[in-house]
Amino acid sequence: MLHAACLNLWRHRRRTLFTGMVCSAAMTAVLLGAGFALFTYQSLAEKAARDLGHLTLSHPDYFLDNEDVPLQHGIDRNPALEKRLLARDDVKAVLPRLQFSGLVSNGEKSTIFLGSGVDGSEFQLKGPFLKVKAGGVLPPAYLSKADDSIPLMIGEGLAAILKAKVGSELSLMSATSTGALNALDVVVVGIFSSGVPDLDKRQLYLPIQAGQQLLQSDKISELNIYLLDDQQQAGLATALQADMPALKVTPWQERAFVFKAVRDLYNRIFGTLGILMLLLVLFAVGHGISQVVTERTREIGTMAALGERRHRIVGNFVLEALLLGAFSAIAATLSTLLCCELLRQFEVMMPPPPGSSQGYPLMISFSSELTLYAALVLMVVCMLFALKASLSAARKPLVDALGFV
Amino acid sequence: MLKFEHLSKTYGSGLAQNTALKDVSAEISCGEMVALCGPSGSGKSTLLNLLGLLDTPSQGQIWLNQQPVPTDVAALSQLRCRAIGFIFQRYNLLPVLTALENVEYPLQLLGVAKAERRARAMALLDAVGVGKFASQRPDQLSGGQQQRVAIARALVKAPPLVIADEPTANLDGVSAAQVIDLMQQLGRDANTTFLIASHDPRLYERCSRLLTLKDGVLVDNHNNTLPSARRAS
Repeated sequence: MLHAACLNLWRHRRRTLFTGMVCSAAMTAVLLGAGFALFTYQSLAEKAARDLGHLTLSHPDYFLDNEDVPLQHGIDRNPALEKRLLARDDVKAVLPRLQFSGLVSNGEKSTIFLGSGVDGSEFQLKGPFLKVKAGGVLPPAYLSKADDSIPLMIGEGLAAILKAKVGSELSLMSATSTGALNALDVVVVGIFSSGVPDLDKRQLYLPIQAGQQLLQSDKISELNIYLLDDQQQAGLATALQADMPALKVTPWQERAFVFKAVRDLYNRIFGTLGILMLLLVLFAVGHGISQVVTERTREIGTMAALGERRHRIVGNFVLEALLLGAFSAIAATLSTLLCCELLRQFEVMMPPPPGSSQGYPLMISFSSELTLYAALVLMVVCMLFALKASLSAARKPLVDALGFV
Repeated sequence: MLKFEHLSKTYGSGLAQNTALKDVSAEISCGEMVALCGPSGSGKSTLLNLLGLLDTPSQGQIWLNQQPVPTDVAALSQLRCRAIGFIFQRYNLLPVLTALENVEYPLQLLGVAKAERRARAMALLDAVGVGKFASQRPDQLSGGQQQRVAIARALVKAPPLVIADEPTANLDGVSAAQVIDLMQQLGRDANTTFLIASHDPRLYERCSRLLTLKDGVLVDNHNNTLPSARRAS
């Protein structure tokens, strides 16, 4: 039967090629659409994890309750813990972070800011999470000596508001952890764009020690843990939580509100488009297969007249459809891989998404799992339509089937 | 060999009812070559379809080798496979198979071993004069060549009965004569009964008996007295 099915496909090769092209084009469209969605999700997830850290250690109330004074829900640094975490094979970095806000002034004009006190090594460890527009990033090691100027990176929007350039001197004012007011003179060493214009009008980075100096506290807001393999996240989170019940371990998924909002939006868009695409695919594949089988009604009638059993006739067509579906799936997989490679070689930029000022490269993520499912669906769809059409042809009165034109 | 009594076939129902065959009875002996004559719409093809077990009668009964034909679809299929060869007006060769594979096909359905069926099919293709086209597919053959392959396919399993519907209708004069000769000769060799629906007078001359239908009724059933007619053995 397999030999006969292969023979039929080969000898009907023009028809096989045409129907196979319809099937593989449909599956390629599904794989490309889903691959783009997957790439978008992966990019967003990667960005969120890179910005926030895979796990965050904080005071249990830090993400739940507004602080009365800065660092009310801060935590003490724990060098032993940080050393222990860094000793693990799956941990890439452990970075403390200070979150605060206040006023920034150029001496003539003030505006509010959202500040992050970071370890200077963060820029090296996390990779290019900010686009530096002028100057550079914070130095990897900042030693808070009294005679050193304090380096500062500010968003391009904030720089524009304050007419600040690299080398400009600014003053930061903020409430301390005891509720008093404190100020700090800083020097702009870099101007960056995060890709979100609204954020760039407020955001600034400075060394964590300088931030602590401003807030007059040794505490930090959170300790961010970056993993080499995000598959280890759940296990490590459980272990850490058990180890330190006084602290709260928060995975990045619980903090990535933008990721969740975008994913929900894209799920709806891609979901709707996916259903429409699937219907089109079903229609195209179904129509192609049905037509191929219907065109062979006379052949079916002849086989039945000569004494071939109905289930064998139908079985033959279903097997042909299965092979056609399998060949089409292979062709679709290859053409999807080719598209992925072409996009990798010849970068195509997408326009910036709403709320962002930066475009991003169009990429397609190839998923073996998704490809396998799509191939299975394609083969099953081919088989079902072949079954339906061949059963209908085989059930035709023999006299009608023999005279079918 | 083949007997049918009171065969009727009605299509449709109510006002749209159309009786294609009315109370037709006859008996055909083993080895006879019988022509079904009559104008278009007289019921020749309908009778042929019923006797070839491709269709079921509205009324009446058919006996093949003294056995009433079954009504079960699977049993009918098996009986067609074993006992009846078909020569269709439009050849109905399987387009994806070569001439040799087409002739092999009925033997394959009977479970004959590959080597044997290949040898038998090739021998019959040689016998009908298209052996050299064995590897060609139907669309690479002329109408006459296709009809010869169809005859080989019908005869390869040595069936007791061969049903032929207008076997010479699509052939030129020379090819038609060759096909008739071929059927007569091969039928004689294997003592096969031929039942042939045709408008071709050249074919009538070679048949041992003529059954004439008119408006679905058998109006004449007589033996052919011409010397060229094939006699029942």
